[in-house]
Amino acid sequence: MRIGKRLFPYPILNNEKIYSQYKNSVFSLQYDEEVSEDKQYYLLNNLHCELDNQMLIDLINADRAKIVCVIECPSTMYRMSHVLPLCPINMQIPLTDLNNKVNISAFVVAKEDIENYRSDDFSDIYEDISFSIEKHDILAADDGYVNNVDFNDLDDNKQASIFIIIKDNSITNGTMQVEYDSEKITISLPEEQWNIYDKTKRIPKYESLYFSIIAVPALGYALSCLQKNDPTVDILRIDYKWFNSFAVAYKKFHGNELTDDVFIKMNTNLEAQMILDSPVASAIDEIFGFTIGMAGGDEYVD
Amino acid sequence: MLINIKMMTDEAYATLQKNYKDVYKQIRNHPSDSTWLEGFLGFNPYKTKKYFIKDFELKDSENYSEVAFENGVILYETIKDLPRYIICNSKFWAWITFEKAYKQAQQAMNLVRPDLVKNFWLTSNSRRSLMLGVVSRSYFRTEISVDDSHDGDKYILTKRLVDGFRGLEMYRALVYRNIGMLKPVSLAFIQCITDANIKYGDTILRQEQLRETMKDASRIGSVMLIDDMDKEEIYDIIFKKLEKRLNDNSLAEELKNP
Repeated sequence: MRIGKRLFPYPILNNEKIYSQYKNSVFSLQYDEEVSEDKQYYLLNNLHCELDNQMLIDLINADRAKIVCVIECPSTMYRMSHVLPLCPINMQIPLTDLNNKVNISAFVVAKEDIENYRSDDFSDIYEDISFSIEKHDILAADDGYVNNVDFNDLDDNKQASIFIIIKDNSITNGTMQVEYDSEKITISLPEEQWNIYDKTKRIPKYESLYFSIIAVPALGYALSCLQKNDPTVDILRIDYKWFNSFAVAYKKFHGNELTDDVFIKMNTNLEAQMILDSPVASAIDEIFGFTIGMAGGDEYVD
Repeated sequence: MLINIKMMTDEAYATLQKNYKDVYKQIRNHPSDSTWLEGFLGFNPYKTKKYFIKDFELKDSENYSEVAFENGVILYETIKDLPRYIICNSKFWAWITFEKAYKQAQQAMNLVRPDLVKNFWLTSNSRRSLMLGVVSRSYFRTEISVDDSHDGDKYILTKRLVDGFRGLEMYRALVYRNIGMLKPVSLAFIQCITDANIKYGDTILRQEQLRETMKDASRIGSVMLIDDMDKEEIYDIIFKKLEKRLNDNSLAEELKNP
């Protein structure tokens, strides 16, 4: 749940300073996230809220307010709230309840109606003004974080491919079409060519050839599309699973994290080749190999 | 008997989505079963997953509304304990739709145009698409309305949503607001509309009042943390507002037509 720029009829303490009506106080959600060793749980360790406003702390200690952490995963329709104590705790969520984006936010919420609600730390314009608060009103908010839980649903823990290659009966002009969504890059081929591809894709000597003529241009194209929209690598990694896999492969290949600056200037065609193990040279070698094999080494006549 | 669940493969799903007009023709030409699917794709459409469910059979009827409620309950009782990432995956629902509910899917929605296959048989993974899917909607309609705290019939609100007055509009209002995924909100909303209908009669409650009531629920969340509220608290707020709106409207009607 996100508060964003929402306005309240009374001052709230917001972790985003610009939206906070407190002068100096802090309310900040903190945790360390990891996946359990047995890959069963998403762990939020040391989960707590930094809160230094004494008035709110007193309300919590007096059981008149509480800290509530909301965990929401839109793609699995999972939304749970948990009351947090002032001290850090560890929380675990079954990994199978989550997939893709997970929003974790925290709020201080009134547990009862509160009259004469005021704080010395309210912004100056609220000086000497007190408010009537109703039960469940939000008193402090931290929109927290959006994390990406990349749950691998393959039972054998194999790495899923970032590409899907399918037939499209409506393609009649012999072209290959490329689209992408949050999960994968989809490559559509004319039916006849897809049938050939499907029958030959597992033959090792065609692997580099297929990578060169299908995967490299598709990845290059998809990357170039993302480049056009003033991208932020961190957000792209959350929004597109295939891009996250690309960023991981980029780091493995280059030894550096993929940054915004590097991505914007990147030659996507070249990078796609490198990440996919430079298949062009191998493909040409393979063509040469089986041409020689088929022709029985006959001399080439110009 | 327990069976392994299956999911349609990514390739199969993307191929059917891309070629939805051909899929439409195939369904029209083969109304009784989906054995054409493997031949159409050229490969096995499904992968078997490690999770088990009790095998089940849905009711079929040419008048689908006669069996819609019962089928929703059968689906819910069979599937509810599966992991969320399965239940909220369109490829799982593709297996259910093509293998386990092929006839029912056709009975539930008259396939008069190919785009209906694209939009309701082969949905995206978004919450709204899944909640509107031709078969998945039966499950989600039950999930958001089953009231485990009810002393008698825990499906009493599900019945309202499936067969009751303005049931379809109520479900749509819940689908189109993200807040509808919160169980206390959906239960309070259905109960509120049901009670208003009993108290004020069929004629007075209009579609826009339903939508306004759902907006009222959303507005609660603009200042309060609605996640922290129970269904009774939400009900009290939205029912009062709906009553006020109904009374204001009937007063306005009286003034217009004394």
